[in-house]
Amino acid sequence: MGKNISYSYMYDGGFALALDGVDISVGEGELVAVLGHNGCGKSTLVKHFNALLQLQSGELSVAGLNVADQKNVWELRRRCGMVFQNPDNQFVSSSVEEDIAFGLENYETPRGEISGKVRKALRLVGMEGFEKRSPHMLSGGQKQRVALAGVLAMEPDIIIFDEATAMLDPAGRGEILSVIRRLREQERKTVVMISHYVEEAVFADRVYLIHDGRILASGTPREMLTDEELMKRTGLIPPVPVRVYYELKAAGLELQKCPLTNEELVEEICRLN
Amino acid sequence: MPVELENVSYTYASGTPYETEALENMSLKIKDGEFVGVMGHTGCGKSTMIQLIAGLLVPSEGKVLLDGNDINAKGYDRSVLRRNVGIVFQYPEYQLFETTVEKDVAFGLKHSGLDRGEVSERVRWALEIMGFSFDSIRNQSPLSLSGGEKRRVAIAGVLAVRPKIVIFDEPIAGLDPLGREAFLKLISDLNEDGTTIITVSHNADSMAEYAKRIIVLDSGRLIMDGKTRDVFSDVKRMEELRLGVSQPRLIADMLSKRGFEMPRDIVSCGELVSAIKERLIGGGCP
Amino acid sequence: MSRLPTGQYIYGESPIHLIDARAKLLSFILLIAAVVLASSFAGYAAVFCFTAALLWISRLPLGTALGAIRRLWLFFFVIFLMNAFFFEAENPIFSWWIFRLSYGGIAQGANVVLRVALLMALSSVLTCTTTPMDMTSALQSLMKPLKIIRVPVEDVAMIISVAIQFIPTLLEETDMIKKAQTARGARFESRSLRHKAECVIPLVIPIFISAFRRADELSTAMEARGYRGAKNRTKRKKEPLKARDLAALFISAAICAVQFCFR
Repeated sequence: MGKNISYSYMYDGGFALALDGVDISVGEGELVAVLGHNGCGKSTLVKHFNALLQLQSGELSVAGLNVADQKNVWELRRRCGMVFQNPDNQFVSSSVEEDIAFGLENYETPRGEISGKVRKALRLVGMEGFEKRSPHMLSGGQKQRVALAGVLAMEPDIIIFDEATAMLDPAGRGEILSVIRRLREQERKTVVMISHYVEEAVFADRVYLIHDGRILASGTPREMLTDEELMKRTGLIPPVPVRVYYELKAAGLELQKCPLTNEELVEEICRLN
Repeated sequence: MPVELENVSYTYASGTPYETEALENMSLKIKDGEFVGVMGHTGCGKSTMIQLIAGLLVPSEGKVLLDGNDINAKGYDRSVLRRNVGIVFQYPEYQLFETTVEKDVAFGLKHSGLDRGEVSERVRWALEIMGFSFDSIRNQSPLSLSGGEKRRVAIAGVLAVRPKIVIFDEPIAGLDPLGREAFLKLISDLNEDGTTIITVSHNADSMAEYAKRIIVLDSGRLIMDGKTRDVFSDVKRMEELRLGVSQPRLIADMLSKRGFEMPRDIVSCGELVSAIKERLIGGGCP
Repeated sequence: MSRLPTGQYIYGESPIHLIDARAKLLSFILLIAAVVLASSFAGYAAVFCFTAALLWISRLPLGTALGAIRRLWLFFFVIFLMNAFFFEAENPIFSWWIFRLSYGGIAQGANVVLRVALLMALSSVLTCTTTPMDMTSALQSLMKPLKIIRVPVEDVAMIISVAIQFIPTLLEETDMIKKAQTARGARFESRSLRHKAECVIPLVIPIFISAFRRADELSTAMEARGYRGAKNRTKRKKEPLKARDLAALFISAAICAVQFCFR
């Protein structure tokens, strides 16, 4: 999968444009964060990647497949998996094992290969031993990991997280984020995560900021998240170290560079001392 | 109107092998005008606790006292409880059902005995508190609003009764950063006006910023209870409990470790900034 | 979450769990017939003992498996009273105005209550020991003859199984909405029928909305995972029925036949 995704299109969301001429490209093996406030269009955007929403105008290719071509939809959804926001509304079975097998069965994977693939997927998300459990009885973080395993079992190239951490507690969020990091480092998967938690974007390769259906800016996390003005325009609040930097600056204390992480902030302050 | 839990225990006696949440011999007093943050893991008993306070569950043992009266005693007038204690559940937007926003907000006032003018006044007040313009929103269908707006309408429906105590269960879950800030500001204003606020939240940073008192539950027991500052200063304990530590507190600790001494009671971003300022401008180098 | 909702699959390795879902479903139908056919005391005793034995062998936690029956005690009680007092018997023990308490009535009341309770217990055993996916494929193979009249058997089976899987979530949500409306002043706690009736709309509308929202999200999630109708999916292994499956069928059929003969 060496293709970049690039497209621009308009989407008529009933009353107004939900997306207005968006250009976005994600390289193979990249971790891209798409940030924006609720209702900015970020979810609408990524639902085009696996043809859950039909392209109305513009061009889009994912994993080398033209999204607009109906013939590709099927293959597209195998190669580009998606984990959704609400952990409760994506299970089809009350047994973890059967739920993970759902996707594989849709692609008519031979019966004999299924259980091996299910086990492998569970191992990737650190949920071995939960095969027989009911997803209903798991914690939020565990549910999302099972949902992710259901996607991973199909061996996709690209995984999209559609605000997958929004409904989780900090512990659950931590679980998902560490799995995402591991996927990227060990499995070299391409990951697109959309979120409104800026902290989650810190370890991304690239960040897209969306506002009112348009891309406001894109760049490295450092370029994006440390730009107070830009954050404000996107309707987001910068991470704590960045906030501290700007408040100190307002008081006449200028750090050498704007820190992105706690460690950097501490480093900068000690340098000043 | 103080609330008191007196040796309250609650067990789900259905005898299933999946007994998830229970409370064990909890005593707690919340006085007028407090802003209490309740923290703890999923399954620690916090949602049981708030439902007991709201009289939606009946304790297996012990008493829940509102203004000194046992709310589960025979002959207790439950309408006193309903008028004074409001509860906003997680994702309250799912409880909307009326055809217009005005009717939905007025639902809780149906049996209040207020006349129509008063009801309408209350509804206006509640919606305006939640940041709506009454005249433009009143006739809209609650279902046509955006997620954040629905939530504010649902909360207005709870506030319209003018409860002395309002309980929130994860009120900021799913809101974006600006939505969270605006919302927390709003409940903190309510608190300024004398309403007691009890809120369950996972968000250590916002609790550090807004709550005045924090209680922490673990496996159905009250294990920490104190001023926000004191509870969050116990970084070790909070990390052991995997509850998260407020980031400013974390940064202050890291600075102290590097020899850049910081006060031990910083919990909010503002405090961190002013402490650093003081050290760098006022204090001089060690 | 307050309790494990009734009817939810509970993992286990008891002989009942291991019976092939097709055999289990058929046996279930036979046993229902047996319960319906039972008329004598001996007949009831037989199906009662058999159901109790099934519960015991399946090692299900009784509180959960029979939870629904316990929760409906009021309903059972009312049914019992209605039968006991309104049964047209020859010699009532006691009669006043339109009420006629008779032995026949009491027997009839006990009869009806026992029958419904047994049916509920049996369906609990079935759903608690069979995973939804097994149930789906069992339904599919049992409904196969319907294909001749162009019923989309696979899809129907899928719909049933997904619906079953959503019951616990919806029950939990119902409980939550009920509490939320109670706190807003809905009089669920009131004994007055009028007050209770007033509570229906504030409860039912949010549940409907939420069920539609959930169904919508779930179907999107299924689509995203490559679902395009139940036809083109990996077929479940067609395992031939084993001895224990046949034994189960045989025992159920025998009980049904005995009930039929002794009517």
